Amino acid sequence: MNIAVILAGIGLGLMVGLSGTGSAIGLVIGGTSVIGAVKKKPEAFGSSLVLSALPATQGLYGFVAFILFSGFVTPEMTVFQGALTLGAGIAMGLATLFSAIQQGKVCAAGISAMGSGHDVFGNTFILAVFPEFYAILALVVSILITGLM
Amino acid sequence: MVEKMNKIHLLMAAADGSKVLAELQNIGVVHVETSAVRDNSGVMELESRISSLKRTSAELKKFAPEEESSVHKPEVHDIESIQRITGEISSEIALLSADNDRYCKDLAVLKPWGRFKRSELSLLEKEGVLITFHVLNPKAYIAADFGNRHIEVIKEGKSGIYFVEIRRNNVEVAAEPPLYPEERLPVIGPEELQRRIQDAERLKDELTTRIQTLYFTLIILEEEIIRLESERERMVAGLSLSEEADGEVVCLTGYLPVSLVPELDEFIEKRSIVPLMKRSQVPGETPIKLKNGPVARLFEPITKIFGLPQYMEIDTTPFFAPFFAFFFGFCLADVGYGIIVTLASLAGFFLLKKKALKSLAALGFILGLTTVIGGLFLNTLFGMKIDGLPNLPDGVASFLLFRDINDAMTFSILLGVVQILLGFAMQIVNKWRQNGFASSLQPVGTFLLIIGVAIWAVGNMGASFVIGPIPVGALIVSLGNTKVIGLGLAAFGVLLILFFNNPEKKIWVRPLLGLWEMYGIASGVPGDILSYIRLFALSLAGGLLGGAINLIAVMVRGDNPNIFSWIFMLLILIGGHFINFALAALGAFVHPLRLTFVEFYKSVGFTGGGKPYKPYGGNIS
Repeated sequence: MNIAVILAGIGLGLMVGLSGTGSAIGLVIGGTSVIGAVKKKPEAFGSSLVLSALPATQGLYGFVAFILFSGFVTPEMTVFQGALTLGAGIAMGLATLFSAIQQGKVCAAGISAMGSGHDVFGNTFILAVFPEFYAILALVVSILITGLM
Repeated sequence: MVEKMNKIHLLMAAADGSKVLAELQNIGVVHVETSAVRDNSGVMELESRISSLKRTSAELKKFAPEEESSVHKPEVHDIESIQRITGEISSEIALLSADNDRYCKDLAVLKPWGRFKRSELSLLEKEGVLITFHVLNPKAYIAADFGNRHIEVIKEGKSGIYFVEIRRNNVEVAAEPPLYPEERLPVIGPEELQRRIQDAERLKDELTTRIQTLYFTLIILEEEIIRLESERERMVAGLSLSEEADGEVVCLTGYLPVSLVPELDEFIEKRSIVPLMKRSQVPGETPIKLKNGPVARLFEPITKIFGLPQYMEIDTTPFFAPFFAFFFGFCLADVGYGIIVTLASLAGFFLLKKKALKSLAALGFILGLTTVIGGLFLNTLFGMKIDGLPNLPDGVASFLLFRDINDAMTFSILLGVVQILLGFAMQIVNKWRQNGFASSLQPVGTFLLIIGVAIWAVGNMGASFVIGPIPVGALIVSLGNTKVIGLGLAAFGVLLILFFNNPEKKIWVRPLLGLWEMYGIASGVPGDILSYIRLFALSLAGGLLGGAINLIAVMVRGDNPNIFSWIFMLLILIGGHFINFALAALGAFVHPLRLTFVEFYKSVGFTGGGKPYKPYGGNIS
C-alpha cells in the first residue's frame, strides 16, 4: 500500500461519506417539517414532499464525483494524483455536507409556511437552490481537477 | 397554451339583475371580477356557515362506519340538530380520549412498582411507617451509601433501579428525610386506573355508535354546503355589479374564454342585455385557462404545482412535458421496471372508472414507456446488464446506446444544454410578446452566447468527439471553422447582452448593467447545465442497487440450492426490487420536477402566479 492510494482512498471516502451525510441530515430536517405541516394541512403533502427531497441532490453529486475519480485509483497512481483526489474529496465533502444541511433548513421553513396555509412553494424552491450552487461549484472544481490528473 | 380571454361588460336593467345573475350561474362560463366584496357582512356570514358545515362534515367522516348495514338510521334530520349533536358527541369523545391518554401514561409510570394500594400505604403511615419511592440509574445505585437505612429493591432494569425506602416516624424521634429525591407517583392506583380506562373505552364505543348513525346525514350536509356556496357565489356576483345611469342600469364585469363566446352570445340574444366585449390584454388581472392537447394535458397538474403562467406568458406544459417524461425514464432507466409500470398503467387505464385515475394511468403508461427506453439506452434490466444476458437478439444490442458511463454522463449534460436553449428560445418569444422586439434581444444574446461557446468547445474537441452513437463532434465540425463561428456568435451575443439588457435605460448605462447580467449568466448557466448530471447519477445509482439486490439473492441461494434457498432468493428479489423501484421512482419524479422548476423555468424567465379561471356557476353540480 503506498501513500498515494491512502490519500486517494481518504478522498473518495470524504466525497461520498460527507455528501451522503449532508443529504441524509438535510432530508431529515425537511422530512420532519413535512410531518408537522401535514398535521395542519394534509393536502400540502405532495408539494411538501417535493421540497423535502431537494437536499438529496448533494449525495448524488458526491456519487458522481466518486465515479469520476475512482477510475484513477490504481496501485500505480502517483502521490500527485492521490493528493488531488484527496483535495477534491475535501472540497466535495465539505461543500455538499453544509449546503445540504442548510438547504434542508430553507426547505423546512417553506414547508412549515405551507402547512400554515401560505402559498410559498415556488419561492421556497428558488431560495432552496441558492445554497446548492456551491455544491455544484465544488463538483465543477472536482471535474476540473480530473483534467490535472 | 393559455387560452385567449375576452373581457366583457354586461349591461342590463337594474330590475333584471338578480334574475340574469341566477340564469348566468346556470351556464357557468363567465369568470366574474369580484375583488371589491370580500368584507361584506352577508358574504362573511355565509362563509362562516359553510365553514361550520364543512367542519361537521369532516367530523362525521372521521367516524365513518366500516359496514353501513350495521348502523341504525338516524333519528334527526334537521341540520341544526345534526350539527349540535355531532359537536357534543365529538367533544365528549375527545375529552374521553384525553382522559384515557392521561390514565395510560399514569399506568406506565406505576407499572415498574407492581401492584399496591394507596389506602394500605396511608394505613402504614398512620402507624408510623413511611414508604417513599425512588429511582436511580444502576451505576449510581451501586455507588450509593445507604448506611443503616432500610432499602427494598422493587425492580432492576437497564433504565434504572426502582426501590423504596422505609422509615419509622415515632412520637419521640421524627423520621429523617429520604436519602434521595422522591418519585412523584400518580395519586390513583393501578387497579383504579385500569377500571377507569375500561369505563372510558366503553363510553367511547357507545358514543361512536351514536355518532355513526349521524353518518347517514352527511348527504344532507353536503347538499346544504352546495346550496350555500351557490348562494354565496350569487351574492358576491350581485355585489360586484356596478351601477350606471343613476342606478337604472347595472354592469357585470368578467372574463370569458374566446372558445365559449358562442355560448354567451346565445344567452344574451334571448335577454335584454347589452354586451361590451374586447380581447383582454392585462396580464395581472386576466384569469388563466390552460388549453392543451390530450397528451400535454396529462402534465398540467405538474404545471399547477408551481403555479399557472401569467396571461400573455407562454404555457410551459407542452414544452417541458416531453423532457419530463424522458428525464423520468432516464432516471429510472430499467427495462424491467418500465415494462411493469407500462402494463400496470395499461390495466389501470381500462379497469379504472374515474376520469382523474384514468389520466393518471395514461401518464403512468407514458412514463413506463420512457423507462423502457431509458433502460435500453443505459443497458439495464432488473439491475442486470442487458448485454451480459445469454442469447441476446442482435436487434436489441443496437438499442443499448450508452453502455459506457461517461457517454451516459455527457448525454445527460447534452440534454441539459438542449432544454436550457429551448428555455431561452421561449424567453425570447415571451419578451417579444410582452414588451416588444427590443426586450427580446437580451435573451437572443444569451442564446447565441451559449450556442457559440458550445460550438467553440466541441470544435476544440474535434470530429472524433461522440456521445454514444451521436457524432456531436463531426456534426459541429461540418459547420466549417468552428472557432470563428463559435466565438463570432458568442461575441455577437455578448454585444446584444451589453447593449439591450434594459432597453428603457439610456444607452450609455446599459453596458454597465450588462456586465452584471454577464456575471449572472457566467455564474448561473454552467451550474444549471451541470445540474442535469443528476439524471445520470440517479440512473446509475438505481442500476447499481438493483445489481446489488441480485447479488445478495444469488448469495442466499448458494451453490447447492434446495427448495427453501430458491424461495428465499425469490423473496429477496421481489422485496429488494420493490423497494429499489419505489425509491428510484420517487427520485425519478422529484429530480426532473426540480430541473423543470429551477433550471428550465429560470431560462424561460417564467414569472407565473396567474390566477385560475373560475367560471361563475362552474362548480355548481
